[in-house]
Amino acid sequence: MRCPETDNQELLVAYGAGRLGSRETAKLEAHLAECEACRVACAAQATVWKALDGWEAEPLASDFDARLLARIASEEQPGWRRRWREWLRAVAARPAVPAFAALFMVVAGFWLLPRGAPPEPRADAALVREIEIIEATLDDLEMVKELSGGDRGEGARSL
Amino acid sequence: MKTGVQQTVVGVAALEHDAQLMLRVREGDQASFGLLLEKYRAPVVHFLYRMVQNQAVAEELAQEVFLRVYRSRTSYEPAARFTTWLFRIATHLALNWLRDGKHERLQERLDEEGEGQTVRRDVPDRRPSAEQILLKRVRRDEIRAAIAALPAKQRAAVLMHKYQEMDYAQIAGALGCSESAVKSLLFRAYETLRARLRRLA
Repeated sequence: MRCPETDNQELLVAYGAGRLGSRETAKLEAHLAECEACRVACAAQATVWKALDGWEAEPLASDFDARLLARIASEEQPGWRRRWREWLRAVAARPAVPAFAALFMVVAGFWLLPRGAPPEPRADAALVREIEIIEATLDDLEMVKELSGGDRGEGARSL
Repeated sequence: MKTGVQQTVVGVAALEHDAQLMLRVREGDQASFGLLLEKYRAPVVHFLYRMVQNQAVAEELAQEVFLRVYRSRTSYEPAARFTTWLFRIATHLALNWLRDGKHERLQERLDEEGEGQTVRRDVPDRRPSAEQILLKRVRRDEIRAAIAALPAKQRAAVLMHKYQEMDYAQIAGALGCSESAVKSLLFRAYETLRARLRRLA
């Protein structure tokens, strides 16, 4: 069963949106108390309104203004400068180009930067100490070699 | 009797604040453009997002909207409210984008990318439960689908009416049609939405 009030879409939508004047609201609400069809229609419109309320928008990118102002500035540049910047932007957008540029810079940096400085001379005392340690190690090795050779000879003889 | 100059002064004084800002932009005042951008950046992007249902595309279209506003500064005449003019540009761009079928290709790509992928986001500790997130996502998807299923002009009318709180005359100005046509668009759209979103009650 339909009610003439329910067919008044403008009234229904305005009520659901809370944009109906106080007198009209009071009049409609008095009617709603008695009319099932209108109550159902208003409830359905309220559901739509509430559902749309729940649809949150995504947050904006933080560089939105910067991008826009750059485009405006670009448009206000003389023609040749604008074309040059657009060409650079188009080239930079190709994935291989920035990678190649980065590789080129690394290689160039390797060749152009000054080589590492030669190691500083060590203090004489430290050098002497290292030589002594090496000599002692060599002596120890020689002794171990002799001892192990002697053991093998004795063992072989006992067999 | 007022002179022409007096009438102009009175006319400008009676203008809405946004139109006055736009007239200052016409005179070369960049700061006024910044104020308009600050005020309408989010409403325009959000409107376009709900129209095209893709954030990156919405932001790109919004950039174009503000670029057109800036380009039009020299010829700007406050014949209509600034918001009506602004949303006319936004609606025009969105309808063109939808008409060109770009959204279908984008949707296909998003569907392909979405398969087998999980969305990773940093969320605070007091985050809702997985069930709540899922429920919210299901509801949002239903609303998005219901809005997306509307014809483009009905969609634009509903979004301007609901989220921008524009009246019938303003929506008519933005869509370039009569007020009665706007009412017809809106009421058909709401009727469709009532039937589709009934289960969300």
